[in-house]
Amino acid sequence: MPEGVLAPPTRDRLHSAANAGDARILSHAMRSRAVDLYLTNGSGRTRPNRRWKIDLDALAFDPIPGIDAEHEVSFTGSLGRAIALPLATAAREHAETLARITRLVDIERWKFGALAMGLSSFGALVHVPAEYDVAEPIVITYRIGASSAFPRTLVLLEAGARATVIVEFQNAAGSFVVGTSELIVEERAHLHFATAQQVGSDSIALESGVSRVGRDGSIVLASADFGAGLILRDRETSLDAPGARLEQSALFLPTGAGHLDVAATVRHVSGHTASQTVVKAAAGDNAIARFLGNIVILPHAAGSDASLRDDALILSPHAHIDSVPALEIACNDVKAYHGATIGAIDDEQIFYLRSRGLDESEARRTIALGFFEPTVDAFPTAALRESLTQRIVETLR
Amino acid sequence: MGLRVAGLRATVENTEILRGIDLVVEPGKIHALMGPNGSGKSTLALSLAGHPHYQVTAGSAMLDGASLLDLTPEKRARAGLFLSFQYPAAIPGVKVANFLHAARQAVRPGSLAPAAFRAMLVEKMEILGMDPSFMGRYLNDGFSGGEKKRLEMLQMAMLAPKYAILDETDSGLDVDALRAVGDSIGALRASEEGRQAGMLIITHYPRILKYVTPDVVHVMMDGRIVLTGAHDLAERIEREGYDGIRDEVGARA
Repeated sequence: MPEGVLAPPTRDRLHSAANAGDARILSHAMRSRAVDLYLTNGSGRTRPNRRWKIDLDALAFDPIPGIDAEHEVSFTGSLGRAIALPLATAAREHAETLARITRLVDIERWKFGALAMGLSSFGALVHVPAEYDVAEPIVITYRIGASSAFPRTLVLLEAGARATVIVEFQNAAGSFVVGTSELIVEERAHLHFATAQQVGSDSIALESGVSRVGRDGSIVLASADFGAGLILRDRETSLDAPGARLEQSALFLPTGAGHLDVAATVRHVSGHTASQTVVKAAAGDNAIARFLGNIVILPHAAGSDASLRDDALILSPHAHIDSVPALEIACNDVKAYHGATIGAIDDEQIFYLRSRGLDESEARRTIALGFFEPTVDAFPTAALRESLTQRIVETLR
Repeated sequence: MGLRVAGLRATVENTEILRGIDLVVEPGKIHALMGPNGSGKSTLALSLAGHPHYQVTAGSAMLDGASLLDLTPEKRARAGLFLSFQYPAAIPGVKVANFLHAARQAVRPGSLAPAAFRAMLVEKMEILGMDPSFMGRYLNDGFSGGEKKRLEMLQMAMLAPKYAILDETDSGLDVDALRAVGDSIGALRASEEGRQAGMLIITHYPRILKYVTPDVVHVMMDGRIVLTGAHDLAERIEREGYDGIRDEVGARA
């Protein structure tokens, strides 16, 4: 194990890691400020009960990212007039584009967002020019070695542009990944952004995602998280102008002693905006899953329409799921819906399927796959949907 | 041959509901099982299908010579037993078409090529007056009462069981849906696979029997079959209700 993994990093060590970062991606002054804020910001996750074993406010890790050869970013897909580049290259060749997008993560507020910014070592930039439609999905693959990595994924869709971006993480055992996704969807643009990851018992992945959607723009966000490690996903989408729409889904299925924590905030900044959030969480073994859902409708956002649906399925008597929805509505003329369920698989459902010839394990698998179906369906390609289904089946086995 | 039930007793949470049921449904015959609420009709249906909440304490149930009571629910289905549920469970996220295919494969493995399966599905749905959009919907999820019962009948048609128990399939249906259920039973019996199907139609009201003519009518009260007769027994129940029969049976006992 690399030195420093067992204890939280000192302030000095964080600063020395920040100062070694690429100044073209982010200035050293900003990096220093960011790592200081990492130390002072709270995670927003107080330990809800004794089951939550990891103290997110005092994580132990090595702040020095692994050497370049350990981490890779690669792209597939036919880009046409769009660009997709490693972040370091983009910082040299597309500094102006980078400057338009690089300040989305509010480091004053976000603990792990600040850490990712302060130590950002590599990543990807996708830029789609105005009115251009990238027909094929752009796939960004991060191969992360057994060390620390701080990847940032930046996507800018100019007015009227359309694209599908898929981010795949292949995290090695022993990895510690703190990243961001920073997405700008300008007016009338449409982005479908999907990401899936699996994190092993000795690994940690923390992701801060921010998106902003302009007038009549739309974004579809889909995530799927699996594994026995720690995954924490903070996601905030801001609907900034009339006609902006969000459809987001989250699938999470921790196993073993895994901890999986998703916090999704939607900010209806402007009126006549719409958001739909669908969350399906299941937990097996001794795993813990937690969903914090927050719909914020600001005072002048009349005519906003928000819905939040979260369902939790407990697959083992030792698993634990928390679901914490919140609606903050500061405006009268809005529609807001929230619905939640939590429970185990219903015996009557199992009997019904068995009475049609399916054996018990097949019945359970069918019901669980059905449970996740809307969140699998939110992924953009048939191949991805098939691989997620396979992963669910393997996890349930 | 036949679905042969003898001396069947069953309890639910230590309360005896079935108190010695004797019944034989021969291949190709339609039996109606009638009786007031709480007489144990649904308990009989669910006990035969193997519902885990029902404990059979005595008696036997044989399907064409094989004992059902030793089998898991899925093996009973594979042996050729079908139960149309009074309250079918909803399973969100599971598309009707996929489910029907999985069930058909489980009950009659490899007997139908995918194209033939689809053709059969379209044909059966037409008989039931079901819109093709049903196929993409989630199993019983958000279905009306009538839609659920039509889907039960569609399953029966697709699985072509040797013996089918219809538990109050007619309850809560309007006339059109009732007719569709009747047509579906008729179509099953007209098909090659279902010609020899035996049926036990459990009902509270005789009205479904306008659309399906039973060969035998049984009346069940307090966990026993108290009277068995021909089709005219159903007409008598329609005229007199169950009270007359209760008085007659009580006087005899």
